[in-house]
Amino acid sequence: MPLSDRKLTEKKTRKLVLLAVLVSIATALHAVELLFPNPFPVPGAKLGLANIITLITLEVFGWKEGLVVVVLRVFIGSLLGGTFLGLGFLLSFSGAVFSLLIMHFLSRYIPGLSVIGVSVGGAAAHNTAQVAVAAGLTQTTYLFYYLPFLLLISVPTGFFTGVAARAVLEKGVRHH
Amino acid sequence: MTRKDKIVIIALVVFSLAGLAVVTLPVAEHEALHGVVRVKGEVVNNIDLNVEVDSRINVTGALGVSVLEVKGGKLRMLSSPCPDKICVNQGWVCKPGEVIVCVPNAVSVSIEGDGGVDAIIR
Repeated sequence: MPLSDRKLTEKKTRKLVLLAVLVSIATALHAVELLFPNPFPVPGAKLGLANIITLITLEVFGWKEGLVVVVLRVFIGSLLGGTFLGLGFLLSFSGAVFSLLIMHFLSRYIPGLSVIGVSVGGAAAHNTAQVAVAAGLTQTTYLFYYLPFLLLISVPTGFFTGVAARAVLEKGVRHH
Repeated sequence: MTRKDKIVIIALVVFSLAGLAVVTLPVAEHEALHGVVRVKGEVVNNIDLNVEVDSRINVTGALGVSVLEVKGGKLRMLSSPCPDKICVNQGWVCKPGEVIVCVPNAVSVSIEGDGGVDAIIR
């Protein structure tokens, strides 16, 4: 095997392993969060610890890898939690995918935005998507009354996950 | 944290606070409840339960005068010239759909909301 091919394989393997680790950490955070009672006065609001991993993946690799990590995390997490294909699963799934796309958009097309701003935007997108899907599934437009509360809460939660992700990224978990 | 981060955060806070204001106003509005008073089926009075505070309303029915009391958005029959006082004993009503009826005096009061929220949603 030529040396360049070997290096390529090594790089691919390294990426595969890193992504697998990220998926497992994200799933673990997702599951850990389910164990704690909701610290907010509003049901449905949560810290979004798993979003730390999404931010890191997005920053280190890109949106495709981020999507893979997010989708796998939601699937495995729901299998662990026993909510697979239930309402909670659909809400998690839509929120996670939509927020990933928004975070990608923010970090890619808005220069000068740090991980923290991206994270806050992602948290807001997550909650918006969840409310929209919940309203659509239950045919209750009144659920949108709930959105401002969730958006307000997404500021501190997004800030926290952003700070955590930045701390990890500064420690130098860089690809290459 | 960069300047743009702060802009995102401030924009989100302002937007959600504005949303909160918008959301809480119509909630108060669609909770606008009325006590519709009827004598022999005909509407004789429409009491705005959100505006009128602590008042008494006399309603002349078939037997005599029934007195309604409105207090803190709730409504009750304070007295009625009927023999068994079922309407008086019913106590306070405040939810849309609740009705106090005094059959002997032919007086009824029903709580009606003008919003679209019905008993099923509640």
